[in-house]
Formats: sequence, C-alpha cells, structure tokens
Amino acid sequence: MRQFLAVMADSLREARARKELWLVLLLASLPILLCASISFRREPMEKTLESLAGKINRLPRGPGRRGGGPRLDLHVAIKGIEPAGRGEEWPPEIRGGHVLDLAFTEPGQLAQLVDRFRDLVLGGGRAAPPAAPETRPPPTETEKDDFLKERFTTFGFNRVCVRPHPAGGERYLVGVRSDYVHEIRGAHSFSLLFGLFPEIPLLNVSVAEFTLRLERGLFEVFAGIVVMAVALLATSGFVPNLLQKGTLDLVLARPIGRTRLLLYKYAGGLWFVAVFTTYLILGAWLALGLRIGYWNPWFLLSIGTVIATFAVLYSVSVLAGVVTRSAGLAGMIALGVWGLSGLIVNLHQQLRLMLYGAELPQWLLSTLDVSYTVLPKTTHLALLSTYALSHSYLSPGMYTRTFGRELEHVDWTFSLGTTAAFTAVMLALAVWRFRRTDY
Amino acid sequence: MTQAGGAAIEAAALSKTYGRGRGAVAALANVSLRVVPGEIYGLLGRNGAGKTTLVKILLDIVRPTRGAAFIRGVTSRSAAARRTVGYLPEDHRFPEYQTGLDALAFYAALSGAPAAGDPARLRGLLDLVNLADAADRRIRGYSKGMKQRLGLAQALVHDPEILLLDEPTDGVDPVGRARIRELLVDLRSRGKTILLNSHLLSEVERVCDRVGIMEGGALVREGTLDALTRVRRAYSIETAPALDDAQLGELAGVVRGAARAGSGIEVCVGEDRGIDAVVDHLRARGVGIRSLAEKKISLEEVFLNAIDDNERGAA
Repeated sequence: MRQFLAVMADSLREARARKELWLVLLLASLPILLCASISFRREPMEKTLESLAGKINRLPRGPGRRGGGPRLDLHVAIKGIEPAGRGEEWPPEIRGGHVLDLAFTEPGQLAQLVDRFRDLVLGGGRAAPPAAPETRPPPTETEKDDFLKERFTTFGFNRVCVRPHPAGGERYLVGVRSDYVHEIRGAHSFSLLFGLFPEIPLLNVSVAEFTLRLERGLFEVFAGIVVMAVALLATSGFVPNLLQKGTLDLVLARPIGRTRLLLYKYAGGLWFVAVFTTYLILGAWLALGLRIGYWNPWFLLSIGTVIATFAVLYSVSVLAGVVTRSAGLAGMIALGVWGLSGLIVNLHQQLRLMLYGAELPQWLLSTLDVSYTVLPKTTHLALLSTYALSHSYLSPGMYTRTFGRELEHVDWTFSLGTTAAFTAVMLALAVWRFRRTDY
Repeated sequence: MTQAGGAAIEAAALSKTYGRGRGAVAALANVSLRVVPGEIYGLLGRNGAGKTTLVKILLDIVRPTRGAAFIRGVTSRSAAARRTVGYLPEDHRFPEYQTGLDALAFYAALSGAPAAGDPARLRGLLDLVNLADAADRRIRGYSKGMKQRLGLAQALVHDPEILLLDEPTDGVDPVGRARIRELLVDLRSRGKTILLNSHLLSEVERVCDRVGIMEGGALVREGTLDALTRVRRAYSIETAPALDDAQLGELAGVVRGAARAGSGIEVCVGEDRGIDAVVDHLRARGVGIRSLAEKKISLEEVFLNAIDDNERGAA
C-alpha cells in the first residue's frame, strides 16, 4: 500500500511539474465559472404560448434527414390565451393549465402541414417513401387534432387536449399543461456572467434541454475531448520517463515487482485525470446546483465515464511508452487509436444507413466489423453518461423524443465488454514486454 | 529459491549474452563470486568488462542467460531479495521535478521503509551526505556532485544490509570523496556489506578488503588486497652499509635475481626458504640488515598485469 501511495503521489508531482496541467486547470475553471454565472427566469405562460404557436410549422426531423425540409409559411392568428377551467369545460389533467385559441387564417394550411408531417415522421423518411401527394387522401379531422397535439407535446407539454372551436373553420382550442415546466421550450430566459448579459431568451429550447446540453457539452466536448487530449499528452511521458536509463535502475532496485510497478504507474495516470475530472464535473455540478437549483446526481457519473475513457486510451499510451520509450510517440499513438476508434464506431453505425441499398464490397464490411470488434468503443462510454443524465432528468416522453433515437442501437454488453477486453490486452502486452526486457 | 552458505552476495556461474545470432554480445562468461557479510568488495574492470551487468543481474534489472545469483541466500529473481539491498547506479538520473526530500521519501516508500513517513530521519540522511541545505530544492538545480551524494543517500534510505555502489565518488570533489570513503568504512564497521564498482584504483585500494578484476566478461583475478599486490618470493632489503657492486654480484649467485633499488636491493628467490639463505649470506659477510619486506606492487600494476595476461591468453 505504501508503494502504491508513493507512486500515486509521485505521479501527481510529475504532472504538477508539467505546463499542461496548469492549462487543464485553467481550462477547467472557465466552464465552472460559466455555470456559476447562469441564472434562469420564467417567462409568463401567455408569452411562451404565443411564441410557440408561431413555431408549429417547424416540423421535426425525420429518420435519416438532417432537417424537416423546406418550411411552409405559417398564417395563424391567436384569438386568445386564458387559464384552463374558465368557461370551456376541460378534462381534469388540463385544469390549471392554459387554453390557446388558434385560428389558421389561410384555408387548407393545416391540411398541408399535416401532410408534410406525415411525409417526415409518419411516412418513415427515405426508408419508406410516401405516396405522391395527388394520390393521398386529405387529412382527417382526427389527424389534424393529432398533429396539433404532437406539436405541443414536442414543445414540452405532457398534457395536451385539442378541440375544434365552436365557431368552426380551421380554428382550434388547444388546452395545455405541463408537469415539467423546465421541459417547456421557450418558457424561460437566462442571464449570463452574473447578469452582465441579462434576459437572453431560450427561444426553441427548454431549461431542461439547455442544462442537459450544457452538461453534455462539458463532459462530452470539454472533459471528453479537450481535457482528454491534454491529459493524454500530459501523462504520455509517465512511463517513458520511468524507463529512462538511470531512472529505471533506481526504481527496479527496490523490492517491487515489475508488473506491480507498471500497473501502479498506470493507476498514477488515472489518478491524475480523476483529480481534474472531479474538479471540473463536481465544480460545474455544484455551480449549477447552487445557482439554479439543479442537483442531478447522475451528472457525477460522467466523472466515471471520463476516467473510464481515459483508462482505455491510457492503456494504449502505456504499451506504446514501454515499446518506444518515447513520450511523444506514446501520446500520438494513443490519440491516433482514439481518433480511429471513434471513426470506426461512427462508420459502423452510419455507413449501412448512409449507403442504404448500395452494394458494399464484402471485404470492406468484414474489415469494418473486425475493426469495430477489436477497437475500443469510447464513444459509447460518453453515451452511457448521456443516457443516465437525460433519463434521470427528462420525463419519459421528452427523453424518448430527445435522446432515445441516439441510444437505441448500442449493444451495451458487447460494446463495454470488448472495450474492457481491449484495455486488458493492451495492459497485458505492456506488462509482458516490461517484464521480459533487460534494462 | 534460496542458497545456503552465509554469503551476502553470491554469483554462481553467471553468463549473459545480449542479442542473438551474429549481433550477439557476450557480456558475462561464467562468473562466480562470493562476498561475505561485513566486507567491502571492490570490482575493477575496464568499460564494458561486465561489472555493471553483473550488478544489474544481482538486482534482477538484467536477467542472466545462464547461472544464478543470490542475495543473502535468496534468488535475485525475487523482489524480496532486494529488500536488504541499497543500490547506487552509475549515471543515475533522478526525476527533476522532485526535491531531494521528495526523492528520499519516494525511494524509502518503494523500499517499504518506515523512514518514508519520517521527514526528520530523511533530513538526517541528507545531512549525512552534506545536502541538508538543498533538501527542499528541486533536483533540477543540483550539481553533478550533489546528485551523486543524493544517490548515495537514496541507497542508504532503508538502512540496507548490502550496498551495491557503482562509481560512488564520480563527480564528487576531493573533500566529498574523503567523506564518502569515511562513510563506507563506517558502514563496514556497522556490519554492512559493500560491493564497490570503481575506476578509481586508489580509492578501492584504500577501503576494500577484497578485490575482483573483470576483463572481457570474466573474473580474471580475485583476492585480498594484500594477496593481489604481494609479489611472490620477491623481497626488498635495506642494508647497512649499502652493498657494493662486488657484494651484489656475489649475492646474485645465491638467488635467482638481485638488483639495486633505491637505497636498498631487491632479490628474487627460487623457493620460500630462499630468503633465509639470503639473510645468512649477508650476515656471514658482516652486512647489517635494517629492514626486510615482501615486495609489493600497486593495485594499478596488478590491474594492468591482469589485463595484459588476459589479452595474451586470448591471443
């Protein structure tokens, strides 16, 4: 235990002496400060609904499409917004919510929107091309109601009820209520840098989505890419420095086995990253919690996934360090494997979809399958955090709409199993090489 | 694997070849030696003679091609064997981000020594090697001599029974060298065993009990300093009065060889009792004997002779 602690302490000391560490520290402090400077303010529901009503022509993305296609012009008039329960009788789940009196001022526009909506979502995108417009039957009243209901559900209202207006025509009464106010898009504005930039509207985003995106950005982009790259470079010298002539002799002359020494050194790298990831994630978590009262403990899971991702890549760095004894090469090889594995995982997921129907050479598919199996799937480790974070914070409906599609294709057992096996093989090879070499 | 016999250090028929095929280099060839507890054993040899390889095998830094090594009876392949060993490598390099105190604490902890958590003891050790003032300075700023003294301190940090020192005075000034020599003698008096690799023959001569000379990967000479430097059946004699040429010529008839050397003479006899005949011869002629001693050569001469003999043998 004493030997282990000594190597841990020395690893931190070694990292502390490097400029990269201070860069990471500085970089890590910026997003924490940013999180601490944010505050949200709820907008009046009338204003929110008015704004959302103007966006019902922004249709969702269909599978395999980047956007909802050309946007149709919208001609709607808001005849009134009032609390539900007054006047018109509404089901109990709507009471306490609001009723929007919505009139389409151009005849046939709602039918056009429903038709487009069917093309994009109900028709299944490219996979099942819809029939030609002239051969399709006009949307029914139920379809129109469902369309409006879907639109306001997407805006974040988990209770929506649509009724035709007694006045007739293309005029509807839409009753809405949400049990999750933080999921209503455009319901809040935020201020940045302690009020230096006040009242910035969250136009098409809910507080929940904004916070999740901020946190995802922190652990996927910042901790997962920037800190990861800097940490890989900062720790790439740990093993080659140990193996330097004159340095290694001082250590190998001690009563410590080589396997243990190398694994302790590996743990030293993880320790360094653990300290800084914890600082970043815990700091941001505390900042968000204290400022906006958002205390999602699952955000802290990303500390684990970032360390796990680093553990995978650092095993490559350790093996490369033992073989080449060069810090630069070890760092570059680890970064290379990282990039390659990300590329292969994406290709494996996307290629068949992108080239749907095209005949791909068998050798290409086999190579892709073998590479996918052999290489680590660090991308999936980040998805694991996204999964836990969004699953715990969003209502089931919003979760499915926002992230469900991204996560449904991952075979977690296979992915995590092969990634762990890859790490174990890298470390085993490094230990084997280190044990049998004369120094 | 353990070995009985009480040797502090034992090498049994060690051979080491680096590389394979045509590029193979034999660094050690069937080397056997024993160092007994409480002695200082000096290992001499030219660069590439195999001294460092031998020491590294004792520490399992290098694995032998054949043979085995033991530390206090325990095979050197076992990490436990190194528990009682302190090592100062030649050309050692400390991590420069450490301070002197950090380095000692780190190596003490790796050795499992209680001193790791005892800064007072570590500072005491730094004081012993005259580095007390530099204890909290980064090693980056140390001179070569300071690093060498720190190297000695790290070798002693866990109070080992056995010390393997490779050029311990390299880069150290004459005052520092004298202190290190005193320290080695003091350690011996406390029962420590020391294997000393050095190019400085005068240093080895001053502190070592036994010496081994390596050449071409083999141990070509070994013995106590006295035994190695003594020239067999050769004597230096101071007489009063000094012998004249006639007397010297007459003496040459009795012995194998006689020659004037400084104020006295040197004689070589054919057998161990031959010196008695020389004394009788001189006394019978009224020549007084003021001193008589076996002739000795310097360690440097021993070393050079050993290398010459080995080269001649190889030729």
